[in-house]
Amino acid sequence: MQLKKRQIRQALATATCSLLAGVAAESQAKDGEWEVKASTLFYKEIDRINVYEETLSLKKELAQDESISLKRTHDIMTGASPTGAAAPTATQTFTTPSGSDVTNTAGESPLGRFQDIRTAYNVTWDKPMSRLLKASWAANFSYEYDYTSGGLSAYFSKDTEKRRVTWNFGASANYDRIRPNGGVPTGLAATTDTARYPSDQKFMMDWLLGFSSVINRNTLGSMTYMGGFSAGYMNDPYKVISRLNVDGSPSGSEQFEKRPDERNYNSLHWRAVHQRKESQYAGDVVDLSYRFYWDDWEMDSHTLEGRYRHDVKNGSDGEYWQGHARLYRQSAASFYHYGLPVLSPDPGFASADYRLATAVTSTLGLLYGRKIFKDIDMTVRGEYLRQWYMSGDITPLNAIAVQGSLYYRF
Amino acid sequence: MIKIAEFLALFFPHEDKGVAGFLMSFAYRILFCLLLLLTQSGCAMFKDIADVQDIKAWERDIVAQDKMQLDANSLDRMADDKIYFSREASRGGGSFGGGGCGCN
Repeated sequence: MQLKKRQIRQALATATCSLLAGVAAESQAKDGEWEVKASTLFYKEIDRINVYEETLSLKKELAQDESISLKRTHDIMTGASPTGAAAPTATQTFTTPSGSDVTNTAGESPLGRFQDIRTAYNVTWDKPMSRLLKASWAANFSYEYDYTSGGLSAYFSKDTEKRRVTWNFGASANYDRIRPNGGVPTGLAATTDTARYPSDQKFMMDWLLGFSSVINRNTLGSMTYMGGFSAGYMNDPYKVISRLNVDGSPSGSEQFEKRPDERNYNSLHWRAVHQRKESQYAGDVVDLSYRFYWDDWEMDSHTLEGRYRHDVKNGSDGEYWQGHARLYRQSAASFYHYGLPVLSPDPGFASADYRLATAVTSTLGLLYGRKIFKDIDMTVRGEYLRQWYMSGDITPLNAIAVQGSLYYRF
Repeated sequence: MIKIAEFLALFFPHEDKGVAGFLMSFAYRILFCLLLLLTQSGCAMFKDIADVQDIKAWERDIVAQDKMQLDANSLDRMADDKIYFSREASRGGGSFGGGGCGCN
């Protein structure tokens, strides 16, 4: 009976084509239904940070196409990350003011230890405004002991009369408050300089315009432009830049980084999801996307991503495997330097943060999914990520991520 | 074709050291071979992807399936967005992200 009810629901969803607006697959649920999503993620960077993250999302259908959802994400981060200082030529051990011993290995990027807990909340209200127009209003808030962020967003989806194309447009605004441990250092001040001020702030706006479309019976496509700007404190208060001797070795003198206090960015994102119809691959789903990003820090990036899903059986338990590959390349920010020559005057801006360097990230992953009970879908996946840097002598990053997720409707 | 090769070469670092680097390049070779295999039959597939047709409401059974949705496996995608946001300098894509520091 339950199965029959679900089949009818799915048939209705198909007939009304409610999914074509790009709304969640899980949002097929009808009035009064609940949807619960939960996931646990363990992310580990070799010799660097560990992140344990739990996510819980609850969604309640209020009426046809109208729902309210609440999501909570909780992260625990421990470990170490590169400070931006140049790799020493000989292994050094020193004692920090707090009394712990720190060892910087020769030829390896020096690391700074940290731990943090982050909790984030998101509330989203989806509501149809007319037969063809849907709105999604959202508020988000996140808290770390040294960082608080809050924002609002509005997102609209407008179907064309034949519902073959859905136009998407929206905007979001975010306000962040930064209170680093020990205070905010002045940009390019020497790390020995103890002057600090308590906190600083940042404001961000994003806007989005795009469309999703039924290309043919087996293919969905989408194209999205996103633009935005940030204004305010953009430095990472924990990152430093080394002064280098003529031979390239660190001189021992370090300064805090300084970035411009404004950034304008753009991205174009293209995506196609296709279900294969050749007989030997029938039912397999190919998901391809490409993103081009550029900003006024003179950074640009290319991201190629693909997923390939193969259903093990066309049976009742929905068992499938999905491979994932991602390639990313970014150019360096105009003010990125591995280090500054020891006798040169201070530049206007300078950062040795490896995330602003010329870099390549590669990811390979595999996901397994199936139904474990009638209404519960489960997925487990593992990913391996490696990041290389073409600037200076930065140690490559190796990371693994393991995630388990449950999707439950009742 | 040369342009495509040059573009793809951007993603392959020239200096690749250590066991992890070897494994990654090995994985790439496998991936590349798989792509080639796929391309044998894949030409037809790419032709299908680009084949724009006027689809009627009753022909949308396939694109309405859960596995065809643009945000299938949404929790995994959100986690990915956060990982890449905190390790890369780019932002944006198909949707808005949440807030947070992305430091460290």
